Amino acid sequence: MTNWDVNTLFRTYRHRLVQFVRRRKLSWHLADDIVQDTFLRVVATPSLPEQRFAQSYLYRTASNLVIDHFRRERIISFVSEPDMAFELIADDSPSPEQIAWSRQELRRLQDALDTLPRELRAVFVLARLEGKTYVEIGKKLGIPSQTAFSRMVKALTLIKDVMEPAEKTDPAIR
Amino acid sequence: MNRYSDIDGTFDTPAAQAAYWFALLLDGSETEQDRQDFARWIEKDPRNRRAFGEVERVWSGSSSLNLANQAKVGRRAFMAGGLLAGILATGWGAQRYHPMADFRTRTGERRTVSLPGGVKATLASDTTMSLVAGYGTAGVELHHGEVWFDHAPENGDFFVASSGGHSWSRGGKFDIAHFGDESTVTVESRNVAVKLGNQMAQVTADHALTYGPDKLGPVRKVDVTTDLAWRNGQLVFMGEQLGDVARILERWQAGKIVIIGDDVARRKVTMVVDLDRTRGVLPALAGALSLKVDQFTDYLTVIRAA
Repeated sequence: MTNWDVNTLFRTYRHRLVQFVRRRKLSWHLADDIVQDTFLRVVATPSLPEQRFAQSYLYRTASNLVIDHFRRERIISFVSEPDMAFELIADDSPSPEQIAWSRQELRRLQDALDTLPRELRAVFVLARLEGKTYVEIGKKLGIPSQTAFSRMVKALTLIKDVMEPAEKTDPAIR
Repeated sequence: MNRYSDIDGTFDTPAAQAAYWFALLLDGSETEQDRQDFARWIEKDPRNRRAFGEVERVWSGSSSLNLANQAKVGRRAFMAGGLLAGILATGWGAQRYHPMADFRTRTGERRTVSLPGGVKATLASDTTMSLVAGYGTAGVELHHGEVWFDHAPENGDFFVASSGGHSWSRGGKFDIAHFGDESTVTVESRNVAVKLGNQMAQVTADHALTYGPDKLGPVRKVDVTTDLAWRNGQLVFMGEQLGDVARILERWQAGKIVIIGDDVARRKVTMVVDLDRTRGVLPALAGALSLKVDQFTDYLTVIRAA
């Protein structure tokens, strides 16, 4: 069992992570929020690596959250109706069901990912972990990029199916 | 150009369509036509929006998971007894920051600003507000948070828009709090007319009213000094439930307060909190209410029965 000393990690890395995130041209507010989210993920994530990998874990998570932020902004820009775009992102009062991840949920998500058929998982991991495009994934796996795309769609659909049934059974969350 | 959008597939449910759109837009190689089709799809049906949000959520949830190898990692709870089973990771607080807002305060900050029309406004922690013009008079839109207004009557009418309604003043002192999709109007002196669609109510001094996107609540008597104590740097709780107290404290300090157990959340609390020293409040409560309070960094406090 990995049991990280979150307080020490926080003191050691918070400032560095904010600097790191800010280099991606993000406001201080946003950078701080992303770093906050990064540390909360540490607390809620069931599958932490050993603590000696903490630094790379923290940087990778923060980096993923930054990428997610920019992707969200990009997608929102396609939607013409501003109200609707607003609905797509966490709104003023993101209800816990919408944005919060409980430890159990993250565990279920981890399970869903771990039990994906190998060829689907490979595509998902390359896109998520390395931010690769379908062309790059296709090259790496020796498959047409269209196949990589189809597998991604399938992977997302399967994960969602697995996640859904237990959605409403979380224990009392305040 | 790779036309993934040409790929055949049976995307007949919102869920399958959402996965398709997410995968397509993730790559960044979509065409202008794809973007327009996506916009049409997502604007067409709330179910589509929900489904897309769910895929998006799965994706962002996976950002912190260990995907590098498939080996199962230790499954024991982070702390003894699965205590943190219901822990929350807050997400995108930053999205609260309306990028175009004219006035904003950071968490823990209080600030007084002068508005056009001789109105003085004191913004509570974590508040965003913009100037708006309309109805031939000065006004503001309160996007999020709480603001106390001191409106001198000789300067004409003034209005505050929030939660889809409008609060009209012809001079007076009042407070508007907008959290979630509800707004509460608390009047200290003179009166405020609250309009929501074609519903309307008058709130007089020492009274308050809460309204949601489509319903005006009843006007009720309040203790203004207690309710608006934040202006003087205090929070006053008189026999309020710990869950509500935690929610209000969260507005004034960074981080999340997690209460485990409904019975704990319902415990009654009476106390006065100094806003400059909120951090020590919960640990201090621990002894008095026999609760166990754990603080992990500045960002997470967990309260449970001792």
